[in-house]
Amino acid sequence: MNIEKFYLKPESVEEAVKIAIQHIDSFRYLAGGTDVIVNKYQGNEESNCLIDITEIEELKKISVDGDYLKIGALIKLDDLKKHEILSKYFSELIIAAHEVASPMLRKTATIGGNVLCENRCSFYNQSEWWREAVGYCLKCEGVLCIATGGKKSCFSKFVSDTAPVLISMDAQIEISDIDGTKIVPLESIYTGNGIAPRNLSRTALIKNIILPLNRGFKCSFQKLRPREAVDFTSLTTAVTIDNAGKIKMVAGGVDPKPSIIVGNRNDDINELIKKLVKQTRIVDNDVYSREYRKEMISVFLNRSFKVLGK
Amino acid sequence: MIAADTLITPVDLGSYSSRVTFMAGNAAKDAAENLKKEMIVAIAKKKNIAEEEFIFSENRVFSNDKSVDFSWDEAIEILVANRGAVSVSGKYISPKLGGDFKGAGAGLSPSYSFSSCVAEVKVDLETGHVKILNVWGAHDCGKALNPLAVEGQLEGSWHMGIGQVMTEEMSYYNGLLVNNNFLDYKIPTTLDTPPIHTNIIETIDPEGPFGAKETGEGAIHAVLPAIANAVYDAVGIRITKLPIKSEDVLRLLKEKEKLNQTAKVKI
Ligand SMILES: Cc1cc2nc3c(=O)[nH]c(=O)nc-3n(C[C@H](O)[C@H](O)[C@H](O)COP(=O)(O)OP(=O)(O)OC[C@H]3O[C@@H](n4cnc5c(N)ncnc54)[C@H](O)[C@@H]3O)c2cc1C
Repeated sequence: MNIEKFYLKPESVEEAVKIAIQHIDSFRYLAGGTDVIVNKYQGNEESNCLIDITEIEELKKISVDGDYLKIGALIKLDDLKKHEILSKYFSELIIAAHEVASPMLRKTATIGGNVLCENRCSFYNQSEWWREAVGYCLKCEGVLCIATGGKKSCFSKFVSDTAPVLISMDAQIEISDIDGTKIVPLESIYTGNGIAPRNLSRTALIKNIILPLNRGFKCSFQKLRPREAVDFTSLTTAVTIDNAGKIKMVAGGVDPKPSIIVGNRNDDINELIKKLVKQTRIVDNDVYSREYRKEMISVFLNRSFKVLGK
Repeated sequence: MIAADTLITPVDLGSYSSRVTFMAGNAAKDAAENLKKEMIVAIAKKKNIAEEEFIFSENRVFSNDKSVDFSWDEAIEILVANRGAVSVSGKYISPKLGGDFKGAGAGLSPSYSFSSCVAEVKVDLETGHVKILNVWGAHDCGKALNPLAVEGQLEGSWHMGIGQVMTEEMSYYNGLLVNNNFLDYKIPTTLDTPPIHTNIIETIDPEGPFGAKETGEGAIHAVLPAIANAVYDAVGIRITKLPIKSEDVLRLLKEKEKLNQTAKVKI
């Protein structure tokens, strides 16, 4: 484990970005820390500087802005259910958040940290000693992917449980950075490269997650894992239909990025599901076999469509 | 009381095999009886009464004719007077077991516990996922020296058995344990643990301390086959490998379906 040399606590977004620039070579934003600190203990996170953003008040608000709902990046997963507007219009997001980790972790973990949670693999989320003994994999500066027995790209799993639901509801994120603030679709930040799964600049700070309000979303979320708590996902699916009949299906845990298919009410559901399955790149880096996870994508999505009455 | 001081306690083989209540319990009982003897000798000498006259009951030590009638504290005072702390020890050595027939040396024990379990499960036919809904069971522990502790042991045993049967396994890569932590080594959480209904069956074992036997490893055995049998009862597939993984259940369900199909074609 690498002990950080600086632990800084800015009080505004601007200050945070400014400090980040000063430590640009080696820093990490810290929200709930439930992902960062574990990775630090295992030696996969080696930043010299932790910038604790939890004092920044403007990241802790939920507000309505015209046709949109803004969820502050620091809202804790366990607190989402306390906001009436969320339980009224986005109940499936609350369900998804409730499926993350365990009660204690959800009281610390934030939604901003959740969509940025690091990709995972059985051969990467190991101690320094273990990874050295096995021979470092691609994601920790080795030359080969161990999970696939030698491929040259990394297939670490995308594991956020809230992101698939958010993306299925066309969520956007508001980012502050050196050059100001911008809003981009959440799905656009995921690269599909397991080594560097997100394309955000290092100093980019997520301020809000933005959801459209008046689209009459009906959503269904499902998660595959051996136990009913604590476990990371082996497959997460979310399907949302809006009042114009737009269908958006998202799967997590089966590729380095969320797999997404968009269609509409009149499309052949089986075809849409087939397309999504084809998009995924599942390897044996999980407790369940590759084949089983693949098979479950269709089972889960079909169930979701049944729930949604399609 | 001094526990586990090798200067005064005899050697024991150790805390395993669910033998502690039985072995250490008998040894402790023997030690207590030795202490009682010392006390009788001390009081008999002081009060000039025959040793056979003594009765120990309800925290009192008295003679049949009540010419001696001491509270426990008074009795101890007499015991330790002019002598100081009294130290005794006790032992238990099991009787010779077995016989001269073939296999007579296998699994010998001075007593045996008996256990049974009933499990209720729900099997998802599309995913193969098995959910345990209820576990009922009964365990014959001999005399329950501490019924609450016995109940706790039963719940613990069945929870541990549920882990063995449902999720716990070790997977290796080139000799290295892959799931080497408690996130990846799957011990059931509270949410994975069904309501557990315990029943203590008390019998008096002739050899055990006050008739006690054990409530440790013996209790775990029945819960594993009970769950596998419940799966068989629910969907007609025989589990032959643990843990019961969803993917194995699904595969067996498909194989069974295929067999049914070919059987139908034949008819
Ligand atoms: C035992 C265990 C089980 C878990 N199970 C699950 C699970 O089932 N599903 C799941 O999705 N996750 C799971 N997690 C991972 C983690 O707890 C969650 O993803 C959590 O939501 C992360 O949020 P955080 O606030 O703790 O993030 P942190 O650890 O603080 O940060 C995570 C990442 O996001 C960055 N970051 C955080 N906030 C911002 C921001 N506002 N702007 C820019 N960057 C930011 C950090 O720099 C870091 O890279 C589990 C963790 C543990 C330890």
